[in-house]
Amino acid sequence: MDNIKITVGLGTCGISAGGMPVYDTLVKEGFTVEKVGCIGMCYNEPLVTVIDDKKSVYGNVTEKNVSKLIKCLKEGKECKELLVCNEIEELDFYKKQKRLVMANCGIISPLNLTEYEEHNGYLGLKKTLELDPESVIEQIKISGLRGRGGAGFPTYLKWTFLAKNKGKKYLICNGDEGDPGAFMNRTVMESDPFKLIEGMTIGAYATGADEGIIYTRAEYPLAIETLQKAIKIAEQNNLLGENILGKKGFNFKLWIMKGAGAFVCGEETALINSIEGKRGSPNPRPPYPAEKGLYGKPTNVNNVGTWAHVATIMNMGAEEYSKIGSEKTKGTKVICLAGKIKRAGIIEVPLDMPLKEIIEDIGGGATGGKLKGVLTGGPSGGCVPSNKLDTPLDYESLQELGSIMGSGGFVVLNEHDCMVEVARYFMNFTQEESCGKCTPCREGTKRLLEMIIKVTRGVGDVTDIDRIRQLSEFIRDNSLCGLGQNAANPVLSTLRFFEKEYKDHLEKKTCCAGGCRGLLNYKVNDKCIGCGNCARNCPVDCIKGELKEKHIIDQKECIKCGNCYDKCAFDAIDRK
Amino acid sequence: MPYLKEVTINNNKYFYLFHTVRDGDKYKKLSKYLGKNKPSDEKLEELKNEFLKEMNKEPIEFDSKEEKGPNVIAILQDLQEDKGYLNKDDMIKLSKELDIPGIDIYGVATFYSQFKLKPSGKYTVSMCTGTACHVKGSNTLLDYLSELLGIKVGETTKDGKITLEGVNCIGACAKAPAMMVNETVYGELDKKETKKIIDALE
Repeated sequence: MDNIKITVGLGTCGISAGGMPVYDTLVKEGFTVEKVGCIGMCYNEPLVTVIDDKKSVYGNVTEKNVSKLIKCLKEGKECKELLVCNEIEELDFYKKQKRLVMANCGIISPLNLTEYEEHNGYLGLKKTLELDPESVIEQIKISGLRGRGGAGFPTYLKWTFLAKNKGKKYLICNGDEGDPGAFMNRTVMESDPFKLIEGMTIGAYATGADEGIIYTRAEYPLAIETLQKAIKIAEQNNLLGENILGKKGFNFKLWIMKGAGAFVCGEETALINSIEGKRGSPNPRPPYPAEKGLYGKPTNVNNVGTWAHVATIMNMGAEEYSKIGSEKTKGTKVICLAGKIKRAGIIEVPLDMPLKEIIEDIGGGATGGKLKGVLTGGPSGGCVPSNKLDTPLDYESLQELGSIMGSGGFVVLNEHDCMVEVARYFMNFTQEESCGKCTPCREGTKRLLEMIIKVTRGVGDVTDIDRIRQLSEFIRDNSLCGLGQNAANPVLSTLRFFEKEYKDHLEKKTCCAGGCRGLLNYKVNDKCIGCGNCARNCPVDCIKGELKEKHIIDQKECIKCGNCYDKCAFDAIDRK
Repeated sequence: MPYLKEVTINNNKYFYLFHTVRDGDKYKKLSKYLGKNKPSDEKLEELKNEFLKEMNKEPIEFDSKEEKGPNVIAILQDLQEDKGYLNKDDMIKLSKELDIPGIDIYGVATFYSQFKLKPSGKYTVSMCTGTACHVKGSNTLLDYLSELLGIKVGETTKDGKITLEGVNCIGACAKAPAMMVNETVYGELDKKETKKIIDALE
């Protein structure tokens, strides 16, 4: 029992799945247990890894069944019932992944600096300090790294602009992950904070900035706590502060700003306003932050993902890194798989991997029905339909399809998802999150939402589609910042690939996917055995029928809540 | 003339020198941070002269974090942590203390979703309405909760026990649909499970 080491995945997802009581029980039983971050296998959380002479990964370990695991461990046996695998690399979920940024996540203890260093930590910074700042930027240029926040702007260019300016400069890490369906930044901050700090320190050396700010959401308490502790540890070990690692004159301090929840703060000028404590409204550019940013000083804003990649690149060598991915887009990207997919979680894949491989081979395909498409880039992105899934994962290919890479949240849809309803959902989101500064976005998103809602109710005629398209294009072309410019993407993209569904809503007044409640009709078919379950669950008592006889739904009274459809165990309710 | 002013931020007192100057057709208020202790009268005269000299030389350069002026978001976050919500009187008091127009404080408080202007119930039930949860039916569950509790989203039950909210994403996408009761996250919900959780709240 003494020679085994146990790790429990306790990122936010691990905790939400009930990992904490499992950890407590294992500690109480006298095992040596370490808290680690998230390994990405969310569909099997809570995860417990046991390392003795070999490694065993146990999944879905809950408070209830942890005793079985403990019993096996005490007997020195493997607990077959809960075992997921011995080496995670054997799993289909991991086979095609290329884990660089996520290499340590869920493997090392997040706040153990020695362990981080054992896993090649801070080698990147040491190699950096042997070069002069210009050569560091040159290395980043060779690596081909582009902004991982979504827009894909070459990182070395941003750094060059900043390095040119003299005087006080700031670096900002954008960790304001407001995009629903994406949580990769949180995972890196929680599971491998030193990698982020190392990346920013390298950036500070290359650009000559001496102060950095990590802006993250107040909704991520665990990430904030972990980062705060990590910064303190780095300061104590001369990895932050003055004359870092003995390099005379290389000073860099880092602090954390808690955001207060606004999607628009992901935009860099809005983010800067928010750090200053103001409303997060964007400013027109130019002047770009590289000239006039935080407190009027030259500033560089990069995403958490980008900073984490910097540390990896300097460690593995820019040439080596540039071999991964495609000619235009190099390296890897962290993706969150969610929605109607078999294996949901966080993965890291080389850029240029076809979307099909990501969804079918890694994610295990759609659940609950046939695959319809995948939403990429959140509320600013669009939909890639299932017949376009051989598209490679890179910024340009996704843009050609009218979507964006975005932060990398992939939500998989199946045949029961109505695309008009999806467009309505995203418009509702952007309309609420629009900061209100510029008219095309503030008023445009509101009107567009109203028009889409009309479609979901089957009100109007086909000419509305043209008006929707027109307004969408107007918002795209005239808004001030990225939020507005991309706000209509979900509408334009669904219109492009699923115009038939819009037409069906308006002409035939039907929703073939069954997503728009107002357009559905519920009817009992001949499979009904008369169990009465539907009638008992009908909130308005509009289902009548004798026991063991076919029931009838009163269409006038029906409020289309769908309870009967959900409750029927015999497929006896038709929804059309 | 520059004048001395005591500013209270988070119960800490700081001293500043303020001076208003004309910049083209606008007025600009400049400040100089003096520290936590009140300077003596002699020292104060010296500081004022220094301040005026600096001003004539070049525009004031702010150097350290504190001198950039108070960060309204951070102060409001602290205030909300104390009381659970932001009330109007506190914000007016804050505006006077910080010498910032009240509208700027109210503007920040209403801009960000974290700030609450009404007291919340003992439990805050936040149903996730993120994309992954949405496609898995979180809107149906939110409607169900609203019906179950007899309140609309954003309201609190009459007995002050439960506040119902929809939040954008709690990052438990793999366990969709998910909801949060205060700090605890529950995943893979359906109507039955949701009712069980609500019924268990005391």
